[in-house]
Amino acid sequence: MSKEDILRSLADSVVEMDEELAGRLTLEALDLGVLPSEIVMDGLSKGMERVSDLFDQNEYFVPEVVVCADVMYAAYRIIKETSGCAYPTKGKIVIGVVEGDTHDIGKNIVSIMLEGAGFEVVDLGRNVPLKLFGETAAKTGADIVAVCSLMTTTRDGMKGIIEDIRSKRHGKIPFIMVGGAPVSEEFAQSIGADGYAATGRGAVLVAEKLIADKVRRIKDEII
Amino acid sequence: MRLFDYVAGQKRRLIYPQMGALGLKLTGYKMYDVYRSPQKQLEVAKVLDDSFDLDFVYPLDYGVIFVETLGLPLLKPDYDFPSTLDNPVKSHEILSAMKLPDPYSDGNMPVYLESISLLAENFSKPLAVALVGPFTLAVELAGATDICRSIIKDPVFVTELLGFTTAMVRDYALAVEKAGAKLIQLSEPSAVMLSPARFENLVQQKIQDVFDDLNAFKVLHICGDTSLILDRMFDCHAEGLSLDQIMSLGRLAPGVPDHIVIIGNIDPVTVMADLPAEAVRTEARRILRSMDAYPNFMFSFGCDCLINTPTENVKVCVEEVHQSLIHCDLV
Repeated sequence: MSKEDILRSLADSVVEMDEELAGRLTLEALDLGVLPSEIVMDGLSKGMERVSDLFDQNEYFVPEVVVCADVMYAAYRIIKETSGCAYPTKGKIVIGVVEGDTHDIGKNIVSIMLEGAGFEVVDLGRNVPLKLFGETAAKTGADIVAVCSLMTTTRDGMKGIIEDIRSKRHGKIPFIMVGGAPVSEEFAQSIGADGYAATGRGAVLVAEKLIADKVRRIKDEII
Repeated sequence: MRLFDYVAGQKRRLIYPQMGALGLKLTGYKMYDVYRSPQKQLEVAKVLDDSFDLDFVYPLDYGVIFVETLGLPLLKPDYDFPSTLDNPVKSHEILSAMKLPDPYSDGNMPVYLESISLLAENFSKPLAVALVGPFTLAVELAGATDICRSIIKDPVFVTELLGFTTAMVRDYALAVEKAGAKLIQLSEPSAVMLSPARFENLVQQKIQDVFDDLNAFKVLHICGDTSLILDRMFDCHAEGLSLDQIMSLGRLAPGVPDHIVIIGNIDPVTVMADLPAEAVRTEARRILRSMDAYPNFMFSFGCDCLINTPTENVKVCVEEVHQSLIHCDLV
């Protein structure tokens, strides 16, 4: 198989939820000398992009997305174990569900979509103490903090997280995006979030835009 | 009598709000003070009824009663609803070791039944009780992400788990009915993550299994965007469908069978909690007008009210609904 064929089949294996095939193709690609970054960006991520499209078209639903992501993660592990190699990502995102809220399926979907799109995600889980978002962002040098809430009663906690991060006690200030069932664009603006997304795919687009804005800003400063 | 006959038989519109948490604000009681005390449940129900002139009576919603009885660890805020901290039922082995609880002796289930009985004895208005549905209970037990995996990789486990949860919900729903509930709502918020075909197998059939054994009015509540599964919801043997605020009732109403009551759907957050009273009145009026042509409509919130919802907003909302008449020529 040529490199192109392997990468195409790798993308197919993600879409088809075939973990065994994805593992075999990943090893084959590494044997052939394909760079880990190419395996990720041109194989696995391409597959997850198609999964996102199928999700948007109501062909795939949450269970399919979860299992496709499992296939992608299994291949990631093989790359890491075999080559020990870190691959370039679009940016680093700290994500979690606000304190008091234990519902995490929405956050998991967003996390999967972001990783599938090539971001490195640090997942803090659910019921995350307010200050942990800023502390982890500072520790990991994250570009974005993504905060989710699935309960009407906990969404106000998002404001505290934004204030904590913006207080600069954690050094570099990352972008902050919010989402979840009780959160609206208006609410996101009212608490000073940099971005809002209603869906997993929307979160990817917002994250990509925020990173592009950051790159543009840095370029402008250099010029 | 069917729910439709009850609703359409009134001269004015009815309001069926999910607002138990407001009772805590009005009494100052903590959540578990009320859960553990039938007398406090009665006090909360009386305060809500006195304050808002409601069309139904409610005990404080106890969504975690099943998982609590099964021993799952919970996050228990004083003034908000509890939720599960861990979802340990991941395998056939764990599931097969679990015993189906007895509604009359296990956990806090008998105390809640006592509360329901006390409310039924003290009010002539119909008593409405909401319970979690079998699929959402399965999600609580196994975890949302893991149940998604199992749906594709281990469907036998999901079938077994749903067998357990359906039996548990049905047993308790029957006990709740026997205790005096006149309306039983099953809530299935987790169902929105499924395809219509999977909804049919994993949700619809189980809801039917529970509802078919009940004589009370039967309502199905699903939050979120239900547009893809709405047709299947019609076949759940529910007499009423309670829908989220993101659904346009006026647009979907023509497709709903006449005998099914559409319930909804003022936004509990961006309207009820966030806007001033007159804006709430305007929004309530808009929803009522959009449903003017439908006798099979009962006003409600899209989901639970926030505990900090201004009481004036609820008063205005109830007032506006009660001023709205059902046109006799429509029935």
